Amino acid sequence: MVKMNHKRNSESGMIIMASTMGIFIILSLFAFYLARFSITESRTGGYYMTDIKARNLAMTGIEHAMQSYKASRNISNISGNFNNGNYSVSFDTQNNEAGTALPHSQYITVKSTATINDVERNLRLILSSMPEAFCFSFYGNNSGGQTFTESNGTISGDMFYNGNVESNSGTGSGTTYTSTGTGGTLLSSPPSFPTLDITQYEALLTSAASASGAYNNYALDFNSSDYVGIGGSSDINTGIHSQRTVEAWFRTNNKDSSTRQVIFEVGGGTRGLNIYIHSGRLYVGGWNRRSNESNWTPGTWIYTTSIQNNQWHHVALTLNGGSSVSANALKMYLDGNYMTSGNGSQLWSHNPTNIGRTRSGSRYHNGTGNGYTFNGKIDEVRIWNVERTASQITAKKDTVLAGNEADLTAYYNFQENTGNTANDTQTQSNNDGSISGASWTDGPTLSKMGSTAFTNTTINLSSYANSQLLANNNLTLSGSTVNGPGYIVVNGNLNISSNTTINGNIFLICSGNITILNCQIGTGLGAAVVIYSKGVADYNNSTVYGLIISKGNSLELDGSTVYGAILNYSSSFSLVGDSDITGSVISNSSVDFQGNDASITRGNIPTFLGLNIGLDPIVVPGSYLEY
Amino acid sequence: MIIVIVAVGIIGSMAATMLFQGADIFVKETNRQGFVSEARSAFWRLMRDTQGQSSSADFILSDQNSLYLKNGKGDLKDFQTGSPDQFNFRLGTGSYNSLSNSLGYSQSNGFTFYNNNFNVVSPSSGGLTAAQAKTVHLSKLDLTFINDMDTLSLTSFVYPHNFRFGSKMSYHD
Repeated sequence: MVKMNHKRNSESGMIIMASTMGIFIILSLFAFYLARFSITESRTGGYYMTDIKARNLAMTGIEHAMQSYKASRNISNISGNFNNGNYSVSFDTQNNEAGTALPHSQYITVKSTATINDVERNLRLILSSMPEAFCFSFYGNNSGGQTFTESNGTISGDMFYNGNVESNSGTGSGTTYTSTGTGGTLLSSPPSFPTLDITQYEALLTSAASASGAYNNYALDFNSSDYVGIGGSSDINTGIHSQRTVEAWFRTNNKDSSTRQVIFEVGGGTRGLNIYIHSGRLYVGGWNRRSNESNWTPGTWIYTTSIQNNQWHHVALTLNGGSSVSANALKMYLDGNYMTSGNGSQLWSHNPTNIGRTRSGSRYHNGTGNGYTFNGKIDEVRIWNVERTASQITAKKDTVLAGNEADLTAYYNFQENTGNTANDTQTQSNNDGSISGASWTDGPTLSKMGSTAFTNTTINLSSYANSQLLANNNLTLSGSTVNGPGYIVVNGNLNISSNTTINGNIFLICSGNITILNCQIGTGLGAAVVIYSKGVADYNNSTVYGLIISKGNSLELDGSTVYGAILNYSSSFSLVGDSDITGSVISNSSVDFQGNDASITRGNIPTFLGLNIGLDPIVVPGSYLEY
Repeated sequence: MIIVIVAVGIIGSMAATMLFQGADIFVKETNRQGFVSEARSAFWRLMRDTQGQSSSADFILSDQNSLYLKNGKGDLKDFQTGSPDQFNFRLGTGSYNSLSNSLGYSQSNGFTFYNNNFNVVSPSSGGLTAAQAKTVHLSKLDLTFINDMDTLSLTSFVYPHNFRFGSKMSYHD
């Protein structure tokens, strides 16, 4: 009996314990679910916070990219880590984040993606490579306080004028904004006139001003049987020539050699002129031996002993003779100084020209002979069909010629520095020489040059130190091609003419006047140039791709086309004839449309990737987007 | 035995009470979580899109109950609050979609606009004029959501990122 009671008690206890445990388990499950609510709630809130952090991190990436771009328009991808997250930024010069083309070539999309844990945010901004004022087709700062009155020409795209605009003088397509509301829509907070950082331009001009070798001069080195042969030409040797000047720079290795060393010859056994060295003397000579002509026989050879080995000298021979022999018709100059003179006459038709060797049987002070060569260097050979005066010779001997000087008939400056052709770089005719054996070398340092000229020449700026062609004087480019990237810096005037092509990514920096005539400057918006000038700027019948910065007294475009931007500080700014600008014009003064067909049209501007052009890029307002 | 039956009965009734209360909590908390999520995500959407406002001029026609936006891509968006509990969103010119049916319209201050002196720009009847809209510098979003006995008030000032970079004008396009 006792046993049975004990068993019942045990069963009851088990039931109570089982019931209690069952209830405990059920309650635990509820507690678990309730706890789960709390966790989920906290987690959701955490996601919102992470979302904000991710967006801020993406914005950090954007800021990073903007600073990187601002310095030199760098578009390399950027990445970074911050607050347990990562951001990566990329640039797109063509499209926005959705793959749609950007409206202007100077716009660029910056895309930033930030990731924190499993939260990712994407942002984008659009930058412009140019300050905000360049968003207008024409921005007139109106420093002269004038009313904008232009009945000629057309402006297409929104424009801003800091003052009043007369009716029918504003933009023809777009909004005319003014600071007064007169003649247009009032723009109460217009973009500022751009601030140009000129530090780099002025630093380069300072470098040019102190450049000792303003001109990278090349020459030809002769020895053995080397020579430059020039074909027959009425410019030089055929026909009758009463006046003649021959100039050359030379540097002999052995002035005392008893073998004649011929620097220059034209003609042969009957008629001719020559310049040569023999036994310590520098001779210039001439002859015209036919008795039925002038009977200048045996000829005249005058000389000087004032020459040194391994030293550059300038020699000039002048002839001014008539049909008969006269006194002092033949003159000699050394290093710009008159030496002596002798008898002479005009020359009848004679044999062609050679430099560095006789090939036509020249005559000399002590006989005749052929095949006499020169041991040394020769440069800047000039042939004029006029007798140059002493002052003219002195003034120009250290000066590289432009090539278009009056009476210059042949000009060999040996600036090719490669190949077997010595270009005749005078512009009136073409009598190129053929180089046989002579090798390229450095020419004399013409430190007193008043100007530097490149004619019919290809200039590779990469061959210059730091890709900078520095000229401490006026610089002329004619019929030439300039390859970049690099800088042409002129402490003087810059004259570019005669179908010269300046290829892309080149800075033209000029402290004086700039004249561009019949040229192609830059070849596209992706191969543009930057032109910075501080004097009168004249662009005539030329095409320019790039940025023109004019800080002189006047800027004129005459029959020219500009694709890009103009930043003008000049008080006189005129568009003459059919001058068209597609891009943007920012002018501190008004613009004078002198040509009915002249136009300014809002358009694309080069991006100038990788370049510091002294102007700050901007964020295009309203372009921030989360996507 | 009787004692056991009584004890089990007591424990059972206690358990039933607790289960009922737990279930009730579960249901209420589920509803509350849905309400909070709805209100929070609606407000979050509002904040996010306001943050992306392209230009202050695009606030035109906005008022206490309407917020008109345009993002940097040119997409039009507008948010509307309405009595008694509507909070709707529309993309472009399509139909409105409900973000929440729990808005306490009368308890919400809706949308407020400030100029750069932090003075309130009071919309004209019909909403902000073009001139008023251009002066907007900062917007305040203040919405209260109510569900049964639960009230959730969410407030935020929003200074759109785009406003840092100046006003978008026709010449920027």
